[in-house]
Amino acid sequence: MPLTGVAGTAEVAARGKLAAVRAGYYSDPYAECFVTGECTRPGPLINRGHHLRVAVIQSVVSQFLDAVGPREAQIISLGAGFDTRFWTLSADADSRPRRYIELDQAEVVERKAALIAARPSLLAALPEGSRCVGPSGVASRCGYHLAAADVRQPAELEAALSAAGWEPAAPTLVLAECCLVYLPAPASAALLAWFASRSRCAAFLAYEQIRPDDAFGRTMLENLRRRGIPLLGLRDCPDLAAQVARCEAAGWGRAEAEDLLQLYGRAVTARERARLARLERLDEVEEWQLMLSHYCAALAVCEDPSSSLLARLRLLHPIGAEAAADTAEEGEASRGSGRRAPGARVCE
Amino acid sequence: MAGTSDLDRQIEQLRRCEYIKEAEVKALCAKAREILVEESNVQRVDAPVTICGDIHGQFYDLKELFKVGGDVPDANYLFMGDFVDRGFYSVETFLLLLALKVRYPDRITLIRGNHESRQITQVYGFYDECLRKYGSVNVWRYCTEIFDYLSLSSLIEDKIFCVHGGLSPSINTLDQIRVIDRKQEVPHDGAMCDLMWSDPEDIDGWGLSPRGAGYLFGGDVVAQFSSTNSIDLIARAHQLVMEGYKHMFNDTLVTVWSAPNYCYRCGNVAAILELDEHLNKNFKIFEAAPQDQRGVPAKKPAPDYFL
Repeated sequence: MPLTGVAGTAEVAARGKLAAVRAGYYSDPYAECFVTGECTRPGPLINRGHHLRVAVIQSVVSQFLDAVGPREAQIISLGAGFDTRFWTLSADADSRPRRYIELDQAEVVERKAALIAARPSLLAALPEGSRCVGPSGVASRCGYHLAAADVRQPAELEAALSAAGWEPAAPTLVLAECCLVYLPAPASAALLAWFASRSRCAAFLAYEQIRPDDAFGRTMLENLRRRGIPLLGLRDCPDLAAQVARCEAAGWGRAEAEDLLQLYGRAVTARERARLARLERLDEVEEWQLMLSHYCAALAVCEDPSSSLLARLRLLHPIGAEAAADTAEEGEASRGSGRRAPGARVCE
Repeated sequence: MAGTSDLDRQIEQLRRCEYIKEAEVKALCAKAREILVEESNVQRVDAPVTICGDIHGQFYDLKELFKVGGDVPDANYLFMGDFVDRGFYSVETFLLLLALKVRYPDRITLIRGNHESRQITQVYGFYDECLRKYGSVNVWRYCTEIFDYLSLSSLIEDKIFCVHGGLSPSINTLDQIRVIDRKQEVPHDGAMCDLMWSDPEDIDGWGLSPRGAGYLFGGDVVAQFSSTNSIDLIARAHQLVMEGYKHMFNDTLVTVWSAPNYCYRCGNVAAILELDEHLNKNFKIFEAAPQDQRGVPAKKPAPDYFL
């Protein structure tokens, strides 16, 4: 049975990311582990957009791991869905964070735990004998935790994080990838304030929709409402300034926000953009601009005055170094030529 | 041999958004080919005429267009390509326009857009739709064969040049367009490709297109082309315009966009451009068909977002 409503967005995202991987945009051998049923071909715009979303988040994750060192790093993913980041990070022992905690609704957690239990390639990252995988989630001695929690309830959040061994004093990156936009504004504000008050050294990264008030934004709200996915938080946090203000008001010391169109133009390297243009001919230029200008990334940092570990985290950090290494030739795009999707299949 | 009454029945059927049998598609395409093969690459069109931009398989919105602009053959139409892909009803949309072309060849002109292509329709939906609706790709094959016969551009009363995308650095004169051998798949580059892929931009001269095909061309390019060929206006489609139409370069070029709420996602209005016998312009704006009249199929995929 497919998940529905907001829980169903976890499946939509997993399918979209798998389609982008299959089209050759980026490599993630674990993407297909979490997709059941058929994966449609959503087209170049959606493929490229999912890749950009993953790349922008990975950029901040990498900066955070570089800044604090994986051995100290804790990552908390709110509304984690079927995200594969724990496994892609674990593929390289040096980049595996000390603790990776995923929280989501119970029905998503149950589904994800069942998929993990059924996939040897996923279980392989969790040390045998010290892992517990069941309907209520995953606990493991290697630091990976998957648990159900209603993030609108600070008491539930506290209990879940504490059960997962979260150390508020140690460096923490909180990811909210399409999460807060589904919550009423007061719940998001409370959540942000809760983290800011507990943490001694934390960064927060959101990726979500903005600009509900123009024709595209109104249509987006209405289309998603019809699908049972109301964007409850969007009206109260409608633009980049509001994203920044929301973090600052919650006690985060520094915050910045960029829309995805800006990040594509300014953070993604010219070389990487050329690689993407070669992958698929994108005939949806105006739509691409519309879509991307209705999504943003917001980054906030709060740490003790004595610390400056996270001072250099930036949204506009260059994206695409990896691409520079695996594409040799530059110049005129060879139009429309597909490339084999990288990444060996690991799921049977 | 099917006669006019059969054709009229098929048109009625298509107007109800019911697709016709595979054998009927084959026969319709054969008749259309006889008509289209006679057309010039720069097909002459008389005013009055109503110019339309991209439709993209949004069948119920095409019906709105006909409500606003009048039916064929009462009104004379010029469609500037991109009949298929993206929307849910590319089959019904293209076959209705093609049937009208066969029935009333002097009252409707169809020119080719960059989506009337074997390669692009395999990416953007028409191929999948044909396979889903007919259980084989035969209809897709018949339609893409007919795409090769569609004209590349039109010239209204020697004064208004109509093309799907725009200009090409390989083309200075209309005669250079007239000698293109168009009966082929849209090439990856060259004059024929550029006519369907290029976009106007506020630059001097020519620029690289972000679409990966065609070029960007500036106002100076338009001025030179218009002067060389003694035309007053270039009308083209190809780019989504939220307001339905957009003038550029001191009204020497206009973009017309006829797919309202494009991809059921963009929230834009659409436009058609009516020209009277003196070539006076009148834009008519229209919105998407109401959701309950759209007859959206139950299993249709919802418009995609990043969720």
